[in-house]
Amino acid sequence: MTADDPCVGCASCVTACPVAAADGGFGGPKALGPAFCRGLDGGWPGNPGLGPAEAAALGAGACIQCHRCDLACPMGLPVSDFTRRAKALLLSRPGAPYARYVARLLAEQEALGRFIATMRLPRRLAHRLAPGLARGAERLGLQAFGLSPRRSLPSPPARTFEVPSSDGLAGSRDRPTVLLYAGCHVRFYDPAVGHAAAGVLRAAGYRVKVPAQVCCGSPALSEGREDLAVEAARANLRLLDQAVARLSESQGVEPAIVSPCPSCTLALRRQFPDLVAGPAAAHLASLVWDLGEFLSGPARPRLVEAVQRAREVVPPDPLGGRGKGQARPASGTDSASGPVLWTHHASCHLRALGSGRPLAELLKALGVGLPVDGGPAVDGCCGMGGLAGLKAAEHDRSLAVGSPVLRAYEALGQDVLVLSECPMCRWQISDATGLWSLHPVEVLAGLLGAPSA
Amino acid sequence: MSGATTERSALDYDVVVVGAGLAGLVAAASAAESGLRVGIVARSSGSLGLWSGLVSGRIPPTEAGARAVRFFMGYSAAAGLPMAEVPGTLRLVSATGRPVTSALTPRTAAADLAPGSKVLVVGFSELADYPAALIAETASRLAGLDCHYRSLSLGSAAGRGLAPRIARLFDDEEWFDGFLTSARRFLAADASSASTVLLPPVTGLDHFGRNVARLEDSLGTAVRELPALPPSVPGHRFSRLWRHRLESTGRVSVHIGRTVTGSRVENDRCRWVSDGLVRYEATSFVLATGGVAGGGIVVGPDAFFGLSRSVGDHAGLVTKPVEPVLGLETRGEGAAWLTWGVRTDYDGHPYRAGEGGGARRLENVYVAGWEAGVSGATGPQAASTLLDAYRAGSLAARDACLARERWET
Ligand SMILES: Cc1cc2nc3c(=O)[nH]c(=O)nc-3n(C[C@@H](O)[C@H](O)[C@H](O)COP(=O)(O)OP(=O)(O)OC[C@H]3O[C@@H](n4cnc5c(N)ncnc54)[C@H](O)[C@@H]3O)c2cc1C
Ligand code: SF4
Ligand code: SF4
Repeated sequence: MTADDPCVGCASCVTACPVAAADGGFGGPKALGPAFCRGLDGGWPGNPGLGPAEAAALGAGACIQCHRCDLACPMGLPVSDFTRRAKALLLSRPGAPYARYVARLLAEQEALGRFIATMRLPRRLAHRLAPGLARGAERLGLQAFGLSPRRSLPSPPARTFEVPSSDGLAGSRDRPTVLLYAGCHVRFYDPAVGHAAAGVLRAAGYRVKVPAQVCCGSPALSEGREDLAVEAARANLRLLDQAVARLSESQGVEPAIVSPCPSCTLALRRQFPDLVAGPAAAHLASLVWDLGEFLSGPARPRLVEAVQRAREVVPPDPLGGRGKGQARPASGTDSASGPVLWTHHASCHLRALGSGRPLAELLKALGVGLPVDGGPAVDGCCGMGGLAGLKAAEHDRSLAVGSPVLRAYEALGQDVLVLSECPMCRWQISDATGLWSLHPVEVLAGLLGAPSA
Repeated sequence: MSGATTERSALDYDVVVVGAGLAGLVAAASAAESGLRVGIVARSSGSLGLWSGLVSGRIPPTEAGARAVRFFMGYSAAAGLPMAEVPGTLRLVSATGRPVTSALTPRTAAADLAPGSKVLVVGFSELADYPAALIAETASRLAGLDCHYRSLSLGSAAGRGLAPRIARLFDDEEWFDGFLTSARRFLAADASSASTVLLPPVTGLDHFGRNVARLEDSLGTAVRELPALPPSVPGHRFSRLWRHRLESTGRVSVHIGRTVTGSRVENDRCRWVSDGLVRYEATSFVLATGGVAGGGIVVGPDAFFGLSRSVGDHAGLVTKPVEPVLGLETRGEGAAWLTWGVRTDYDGHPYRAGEGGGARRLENVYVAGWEAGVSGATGPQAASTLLDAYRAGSLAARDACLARERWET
């Protein structure tokens, strides 16, 4: 430990790491983080310095960038930044073209999302005409891209996510416009969450605009492609700056930038200022809110009023208007058959934001359904690790990392609705347990009778 | 007072606890008992990952001491980590085999090893950093125990032998069944002639209680976990189980990953603390930011052998200590940095530096844990930490309740 290297070697980070607990071959954050980087930066006397071979020997590729090591370090070190450097080194190995290709594919969410969006109509048609064949073809497609054929695929949405342009008009001081940074998952795969978020924000007295945006770069960063993440950060900064400037001028206050996805929020708030030097990124970061923080913060008084008003008119539909026409568990989840049992899963990146569980607390305060406690095991990581768990080569490890969490949810029984802000947690949990999962804002939208599509 | 006023929102609690180490969690639990809304704001989970799991030190034989212990044991048991108390103190051996005493220990570690006891020290050959043979040797020499040592293999699933990996294996029921079989085969003979079998403290993150009980059944001897060296699975258990219980009451919000960098003090009262993003407002505050090891106290160049500039300041992560932020007076004796803390009055109110000769206190702030400083060069011990954290939490809650009553009438 010195001033320049404050790691005290306590290994608190190792104890907190979900991958080190599940995978005996993983070197863990202490070896791959501060210790490894010490070796990188010139090395110890007589040490030639560490390289990709050592990173591979320590299993660096398994780090899922969950940030749990950061939250455990008594010295407050950004341990996961160090492990990311070790992970990034792997991609420079001469023998890793395939890994590079898969990494690049996952890192390029924007392109992938657009491609899948263009396939939307043919996919819907195929699923209608020959569902078995369509699923088989999709599985082959996944395999070709190095993705796991055992993953369920989100069913193709009717439209990609857009908000009526009339809604994007500049607001006023009284009714300011909020910029909704929807994120790739909402834009390309799950627009219902975006509509629910927009509906709830509107009910709380805001106008909503979905600004031009590209992928936040979080998947690229997790894959060790800092270069792509920097590009994504620069592009978003340009687009969001324009939107902010335009609105600030017309409504007299700077708009809040709100995201329903904790990983996007983390990228915009914490990673952009690291990746792009200068005051612009820092200023933008100060405008960024996690949707839950925003709804339980400045939006709360009017939102609570709106919920109370809505309850007088429409019987609450805690199912969020979602699930209509969608397969759902057979029993117990209907509002007619008693209160909905729900539990909240805090994703690793929601934890990394340090904002607590604002939406779960709001739902409890509003007396929605019956919250159930999954026990301490569910505070762990679900194992998906962002997009990592989608890779064919990572699927089994992802289930092993998540197994204590997944088993604990399974034990709650099929009647329990799992609420999580993170789309990838929702994906993993419903894939592995068969439980039904939603973004908590969908439940709020259901209470308000807000349209979800 | 200080800190840029760039926060764009405020969270409002009855009591805000800064710090999520042993002191912070105990203070938050005790404050939340009276039904108040409590917010925990902390940079990280503190020194809990280094904590051996033993509550060392002395519990004074007073009504206050008994109340704090009752509360702590009750809360911990309900959280899933039952503790054991033995009249007097337990005679244990530390993670290096030296004799230690303890006021409270996790139930799975509670042994009372009188000199001359026959003890079997078991090591796992794959577990990194666990010197079982040395422990047996030291414990025989220094604690007067009659120690034998056996090493057991955990098989290839243990991988690199990191403690969390092994704890997770023990939670896997199928794997554990296999382990029981080999434990019986290789240990039963030695275990039957011992009064206690001592295991490394890695018998599970969730099912340690059940696993130790099954091992006892199977070996027919008392089985206990030794205290931990870092990385401490017992410290991690404490952190996750207490945090889960705190959150599941629905009254405590946990903000870990937030560093307090600013505050406002008016008329000797703290109005809010801030992390630059959010203001945390409350009627009363508990300061449980730890000592030098937790980053609560920053060591200046002259004070600490002239070696380090600032313990908490690293690579793009700005961590300002709370003392300068609240302007508190610290005390400590020279290089004995383990003794450093902020100066407080009898109730735990800190004194502010430089104002009226240090006579002015922050009336709605209570200091707990390592932050409160200790006398002697041993560093803080969990016994004093949990006593003053319980008290700080209760006093902060009492103030908040009184304020509520005043508000309501
Ligand atoms: C190596 C080691 C071994 C130990 N072994 C034993 C033992 O065998 N027996 C025993 O009885 N005790 C032991 N202890 C002491 C143990 O009881 C506790 O660590 C001690 O009481 C201190 O607890 P704490 O909560 O005051 O501090 P910490 O655990 O250090 O917690 C400090 C908290 O404050 C937070 N914080 C600091 N600055 C800020 C800021 N600016 N903003 C927000 N949050 C901040 C930190 O992130 C952390 O959450 C050991 C301690 C260490 C370090
Ligand atoms: S980011 Fe997560 S997976 Fe990676 S080393 Fe840290 S704790 Fe482990
Ligand atoms: S928790 Fe922090 S100080 Fe401890 S080993 Fe890990 S990086 Fe080093």
